[in-house]
Amino acid sequence: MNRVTTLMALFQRESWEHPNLIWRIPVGLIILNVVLAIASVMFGLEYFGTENLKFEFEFNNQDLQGGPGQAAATFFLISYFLLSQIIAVGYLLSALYEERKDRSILFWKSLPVSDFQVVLSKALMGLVVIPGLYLLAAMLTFLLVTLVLSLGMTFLLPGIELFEGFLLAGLNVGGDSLRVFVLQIIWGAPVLLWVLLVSGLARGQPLVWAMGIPLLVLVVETAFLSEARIFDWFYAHATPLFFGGAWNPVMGGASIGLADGFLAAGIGLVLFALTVFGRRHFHEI
Amino acid sequence: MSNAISVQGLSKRFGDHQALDHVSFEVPKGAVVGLIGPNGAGKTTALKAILGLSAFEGAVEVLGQSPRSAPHQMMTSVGYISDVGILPRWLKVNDALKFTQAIHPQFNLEKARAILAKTDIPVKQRVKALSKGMVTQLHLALVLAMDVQLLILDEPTLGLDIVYRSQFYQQILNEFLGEDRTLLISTHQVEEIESLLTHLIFIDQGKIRLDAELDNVYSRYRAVDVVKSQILAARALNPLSEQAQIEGACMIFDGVSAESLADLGTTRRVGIAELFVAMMSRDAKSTASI
Repeated sequence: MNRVTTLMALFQRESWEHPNLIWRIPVGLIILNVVLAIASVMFGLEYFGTENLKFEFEFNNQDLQGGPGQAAATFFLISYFLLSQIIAVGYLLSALYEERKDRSILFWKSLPVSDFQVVLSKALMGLVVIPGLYLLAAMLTFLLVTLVLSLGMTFLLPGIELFEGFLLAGLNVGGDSLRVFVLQIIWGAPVLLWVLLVSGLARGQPLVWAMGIPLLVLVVETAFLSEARIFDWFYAHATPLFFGGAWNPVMGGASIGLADGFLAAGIGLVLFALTVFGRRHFHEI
Repeated sequence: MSNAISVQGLSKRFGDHQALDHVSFEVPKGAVVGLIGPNGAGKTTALKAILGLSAFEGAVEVLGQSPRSAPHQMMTSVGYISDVGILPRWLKVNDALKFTQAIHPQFNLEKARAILAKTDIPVKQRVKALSKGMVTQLHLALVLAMDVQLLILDEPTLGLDIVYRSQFYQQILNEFLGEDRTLLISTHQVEEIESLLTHLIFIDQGKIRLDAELDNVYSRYRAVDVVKSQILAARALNPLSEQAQIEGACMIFDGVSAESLADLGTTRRVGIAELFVAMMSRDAKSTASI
């Protein structure tokens, strides 16, 4: 079996085990938002009618691209992205814990798949696949909602092409958020891989351990040192780039320092290696 | 290479408890070996060490490979079924087949489907909807379709009713054994596997008490239903165990010739279960080897 086939099979396995987290929630969000958009258009047409509707200002495509279009795209991308990070933490907390708790690790380990491959699949699922799927869902939601609103607008304001303006705004914001998405993988790696490590080692209550140890570090640092540098660094990386002030949806641009990026990647790799070691040696609970 | 498994000086300690104490044994290719011992004897610990599922001291070689270095590569040729309930409950039967086919180079999907077709297992169901017996049947179907050379079973039929247990071993006999394939099985239901075994290992308190080919066991140990009038004469031959019966006693002898036992009563082949009970009851500290 080649490694790609095995990795794809492992991803599929994760989607069987966590269908709600991985695809049902984003699909549900798309449907919910589209239904809400349709309902609001229908309600608007029903309530106002097309004849009495008057706007006090003139729309043009430039306005729609820079204002409401950008705001709508940003809203969907940021809210879905934040949700994806919470979902990723929840997924990683159980990723290596549940198989030890229900003893199914004995079955998985009886198959010719290495601990490295299993941990890699779970790490990539939490770091890349889940946030990626939610980002895709956000873009799809924006596209479909825009389509619904555009159709509604053709009845309300004939001549105004909402779709094109919104789409351009969405492409702008979406393009930038892709860059943030890639940077976030490095930025968030130490925290998410810490959660995965705890999931592989804890004999109970992985959430308590995952949060408790950093808090213990904070207490120790506060008690013995003048500043909590380790905890502050960890806390900063626990805050997604979208919310850490490093990204501005209107101005665009997101960055992480080169040294900090290397440090985050390095610590992420060490945590990954420890997790592989843990899966090799820590078994049923 | 004539041994499927070679274990030398295997030791494992859990805190103050010495689970395995310099255990050594070999499992020849093509053998069917029963690893028999009371609860806490070290059977599961030994099997986990062999499979590379736990750290250990000593040297273990499985099909020419070390379970320490790359256990996942070893599992291409080794199948393992632990006691019931280790298949993940959320997994669908069909998905279990699909996944195993994707990751196991020798998995024969058609064979697995053919085996499952003979059962009542609904392929669209999740494991959690199956009975204990069905879960074991599914696990066995997966393992049999992997075309492995060595099968390791650790109390595979624990908690199953007699029908499922019988079907399980019948399937092992029909679908697995033969062509130099090796089976190492640990179970408490010794009588049900006695007809399959070629070798026997008794383990107790982390030490091997008996390691022998079954034919040698039968020629060394003899059971005699001793008549009442011969009981004193029989005791003089220092039996391994004595079990009172209505008309006399059942005694098991170690290394006493058939001629010497002929006048005592009816000599018969010793059962593994009664030999096991006899040996465990005896305060045996030294390893018996044949």
